[in-house]
Amino acid sequence: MRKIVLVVLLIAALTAGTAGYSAAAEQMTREEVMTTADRNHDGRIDREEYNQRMTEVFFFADTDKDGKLSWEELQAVVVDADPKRFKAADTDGDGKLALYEYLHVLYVDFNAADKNHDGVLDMEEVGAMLARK
Amino acid sequence: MDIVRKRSAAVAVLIAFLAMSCASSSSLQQTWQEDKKAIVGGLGGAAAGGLIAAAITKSPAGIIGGALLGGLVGGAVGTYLDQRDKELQQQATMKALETAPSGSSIPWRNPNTGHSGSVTPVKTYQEPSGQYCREYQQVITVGGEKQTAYGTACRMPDGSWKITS
Repeated sequence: MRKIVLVVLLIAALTAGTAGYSAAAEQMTREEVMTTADRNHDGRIDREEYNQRMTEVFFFADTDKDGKLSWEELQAVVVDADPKRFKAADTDGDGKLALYEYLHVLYVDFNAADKNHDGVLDMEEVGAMLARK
Repeated sequence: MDIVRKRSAAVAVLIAFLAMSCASSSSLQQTWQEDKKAIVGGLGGAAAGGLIAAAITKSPAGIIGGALLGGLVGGAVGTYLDQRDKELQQQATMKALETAPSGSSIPWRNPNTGHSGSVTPVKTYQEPSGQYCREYQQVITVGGEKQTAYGTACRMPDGSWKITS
């Protein structure tokens, strides 16, 4: 599931391109991640900020706006998406990720990134996440 | 001062009115191509901005469509925004809800009247039904006076956005 998570905070491998915007890799800096996810500008990404950002990513990735993320929609934005991991995340087996399934994966990843277990991601932890790519 | 107060009140009423209306965009398709790069550029810095950019550029058609529900401006308020103002405001609202990440503003300005504004999504969430909703901030500047309002809109199955509060 790590790769799905990478979709979100870490990989920015998807920026350029268009229908078109096919995965021209561009690595985000930790500063960029912090700037955009840290809504209250306290220098840390708390769980609410994280979930809010992830929910928004889900919204934009869900191109047919059916409320779920299909494998194709994921593939469109994650260069190296892993079908096995996608399937594992799809706990209800409907072939798509509901928001709760998606956030569950990201919840686990947030915890993994939160090395000092203080409930927030600081610049260093975000940098470590990016480096894991 | 009376005039100023009346104008302030009128703008406030206008914003309330707008908040109850439903946004749509009929000419957004025309501006989409022009604005795409700017939008994506703005998104590029977002966490997962790449993902967002990739996603939104795939289906601009999703932005189009959706009926304009509800009247917009009436009475005294209508004297301050002309039809073009309203169209621009609607387009900005639709574009913001459909394409702008939270914290990014979609501005509008009518050079003929000097009236301007912006729409900024502030939060995105999903109803239990799967319907997407977004909270947003709307700013309108008329006669040098700026008025700010907040609203929530939910995306309808036909791609339009219905203001719910």
